[in-house]
Amino acid sequence: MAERRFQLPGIQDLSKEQESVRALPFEGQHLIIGGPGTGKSVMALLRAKALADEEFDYRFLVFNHLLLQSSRRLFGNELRSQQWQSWFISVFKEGFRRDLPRISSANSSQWSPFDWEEIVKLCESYDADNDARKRPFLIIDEGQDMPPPFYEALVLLGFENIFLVADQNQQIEDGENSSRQDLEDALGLDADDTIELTENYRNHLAIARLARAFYTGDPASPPPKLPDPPPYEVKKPILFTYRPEQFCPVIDRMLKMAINSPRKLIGILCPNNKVREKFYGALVSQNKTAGHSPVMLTTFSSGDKHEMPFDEGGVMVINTQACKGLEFDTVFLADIDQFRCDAQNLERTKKLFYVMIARATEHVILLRQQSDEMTVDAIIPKDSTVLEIK
Amino acid sequence: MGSGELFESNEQRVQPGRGHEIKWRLVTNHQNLMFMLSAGMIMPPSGFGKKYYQDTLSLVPGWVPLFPETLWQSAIDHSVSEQALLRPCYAELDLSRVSGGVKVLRSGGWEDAQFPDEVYGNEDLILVPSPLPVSLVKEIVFSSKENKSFCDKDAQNFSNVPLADFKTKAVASPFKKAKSGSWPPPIDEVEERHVELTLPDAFGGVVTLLSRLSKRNDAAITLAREFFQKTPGDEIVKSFPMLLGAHALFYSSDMSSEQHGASSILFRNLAESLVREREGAGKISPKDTIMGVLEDSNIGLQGQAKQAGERLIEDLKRIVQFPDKTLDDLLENHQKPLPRSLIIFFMNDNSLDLLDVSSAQIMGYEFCGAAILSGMAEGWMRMPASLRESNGLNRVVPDYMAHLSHWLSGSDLGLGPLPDRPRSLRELLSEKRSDIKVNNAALYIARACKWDCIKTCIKLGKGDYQLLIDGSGASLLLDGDVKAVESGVDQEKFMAFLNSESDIPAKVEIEARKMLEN
Repeated sequence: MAERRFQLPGIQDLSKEQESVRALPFEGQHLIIGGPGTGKSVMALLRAKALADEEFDYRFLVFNHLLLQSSRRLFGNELRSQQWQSWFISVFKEGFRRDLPRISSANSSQWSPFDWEEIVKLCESYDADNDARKRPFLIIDEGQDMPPPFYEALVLLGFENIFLVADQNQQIEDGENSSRQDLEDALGLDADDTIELTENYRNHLAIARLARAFYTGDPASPPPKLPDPPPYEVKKPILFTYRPEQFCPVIDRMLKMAINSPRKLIGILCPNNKVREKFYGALVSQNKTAGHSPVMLTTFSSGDKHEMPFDEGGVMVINTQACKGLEFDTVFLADIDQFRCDAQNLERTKKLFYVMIARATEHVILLRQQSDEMTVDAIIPKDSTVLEIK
Repeated sequence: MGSGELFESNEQRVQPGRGHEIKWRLVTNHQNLMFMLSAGMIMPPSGFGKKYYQDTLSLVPGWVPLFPETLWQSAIDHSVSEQALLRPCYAELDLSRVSGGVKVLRSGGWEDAQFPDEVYGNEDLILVPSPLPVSLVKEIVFSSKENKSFCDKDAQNFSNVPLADFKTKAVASPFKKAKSGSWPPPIDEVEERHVELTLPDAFGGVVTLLSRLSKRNDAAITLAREFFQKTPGDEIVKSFPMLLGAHALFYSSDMSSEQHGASSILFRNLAESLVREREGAGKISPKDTIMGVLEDSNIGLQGQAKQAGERLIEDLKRIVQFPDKTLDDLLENHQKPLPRSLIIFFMNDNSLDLLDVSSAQIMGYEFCGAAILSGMAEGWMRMPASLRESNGLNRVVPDYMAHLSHWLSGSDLGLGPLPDRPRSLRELLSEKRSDIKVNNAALYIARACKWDCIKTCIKLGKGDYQLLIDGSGASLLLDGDVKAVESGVDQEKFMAFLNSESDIPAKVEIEARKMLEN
């Protein structure tokens, strides 16, 4: 496959509201709120470039390892980025000369969560004024995914220059997220100090409209403004229902899509490992026998350490939980019938769909297996101008 | 549109008068300046879309306000009033090529005047009809080193701001010596002018792509030449009737169904829709725009034509929705040029992707059709910098765009002689194949690119020759002197290398052009 093309934005691509974010001083604490596609991450990367140009020390903190890889591929390997937890562990160790307090897990092989109560207590006793070490400028992407005590700890440890972009409507994991209010409180900002990005620039409009159908309605992070649909809309999101015997043709069409657009990255987002393995296995198998030049196929699951080729076209099969902050040209939501959609988790599943759909810049295809029981239908939009059913 | 001829005429250089001796200065801010350098034209606020920051250009839209050397403090202040981070600057223009009607502000009142003869330098301000090509910018002046450095760095945050191509400097005195004067001055007597900017921008996009394609495509060489002239030559009429529709759009030529085929008229409608959509909210994608035109035009058809139209629409939809065919499969099913151009266009999302397409089934003509649509949709401003810089297009195309705009807007402003149209290396090399310059340039390229197409002829006198081969190689022993050793390229092999996808390094291309043009 071919390399994907990344380039700096054209001057006409950045809006006045985005320019006002670019114009913020390097010093101080800044919170940028905006829905999917409003260019928050682009603003964060341009901030990193500006700091690098001025030879300032900075760290670009991201939520997970896949996002870390994706950001580096977008910016280049010189991006000083780290996964936020890895970075915080090392900062803590350097400051306190001891390991970070954790809550012990019943299973020793599992990840032990940070003991934030103890961490904040220790940070409160830290004499940041007498620590002569220079703190790097911090740029935090997807800041809603880090918990409030993380920000409290940063301030107590003397980090004064923080540029944070967030959207509280894009939360997948429950329990450890920060709301807009949490972030404003932690950074000592008034609501007026927060900059809201309101227009969607990244996603194709049809995608933004579909994402809107899953918006759960928190006014703290308003969804991007959208114009009316055009009279003709050829690239509309599709819901494609397939019978078991149609699975192979579906895989064949995915491969044809990749062949027709060799520089495009197609993301297949799966509800669980079983579905991920089913799609990846079928793609690998049919890729070998299709009689065309092979398509680049990759997969990633929790705990994997290998690098993913975000800078090349092809097909990437990953689990839903790993998709946060990533960007694909086309997104397939695979086997959406596997999502549970009863009363208890309706809201959560809608949020999940909101995040998954917003990963696509150009096209979204929802796939479901034909089945009698489809609880997911409860949240699927019925308006054919939003989602075309095939 | 203008009464004069376009492109072909305007060759007479205007004799310098008083107006030509003055340093004319446009006061603006660094953001607007960068935008205009990228757009290739000094233009009214409407050309900036939603990204116009208040400056002097909004005084009377359609007119470029220029100060004769001494700036106004209020105009500088106004140009940076909208956002704290805007930096003041001015562009000094060389108007020695310019002539025509302007407005002048003298003693508080506006008058009509002919530039340069009726402009004396005692004016407070003059208004020149928009747009002006950025090639008129002599230098860009900032009020301080800090402001200049800020703009230099800021330009590097964008992919399409060619600030480095212009002379920039920091000089505080013109800003310090700015005189008082209330901005805006009274302007009731001057009317706004409508300025056509989208079509010229589309023209820039189209000729950029055709010029790029002409590196490897004979049809593109012909079409690039034809699009730079108002009256199409016989070749385009005979060989590329469909694409005549796009040519007619730029030059406002009438098209009747008797003279032009249905595909030519449909192609013009498609091209025009793409351009007009960009003038609106710009939120309808080019593919949706094209689909709208196709669906509408199919309503009036009947029988086989209608069926063929429906089949094409269905295939185009599938390409972008969930394709079940590859490009080659689709081309096999559609044999006419217009559907094939549309299939190529629908397969790709932008001009760079389009230029990557390679299929033995595609004819050059069909490829050019897709490229013309892509150029219409993206325009000059959205063309990637790598394309705008090749063949020296960025030094030439904005001049043609500005001329076209004045002609379409009915302006009598003369912008002086046009630079020669850009020509690809392939066009230059194929013009005179026997020419010694061409041979030398081809040989230079082949050597620099290590192309295996060089042949050498050694002319020897009469005599007996002995070929000796030993462990260190071969040598030819002969009596007397060698008369000549001539190296050249095998034309067929050389052209095959030239037509291949790989680019000739920029340094090599520049040198080869020098060899051909000197």
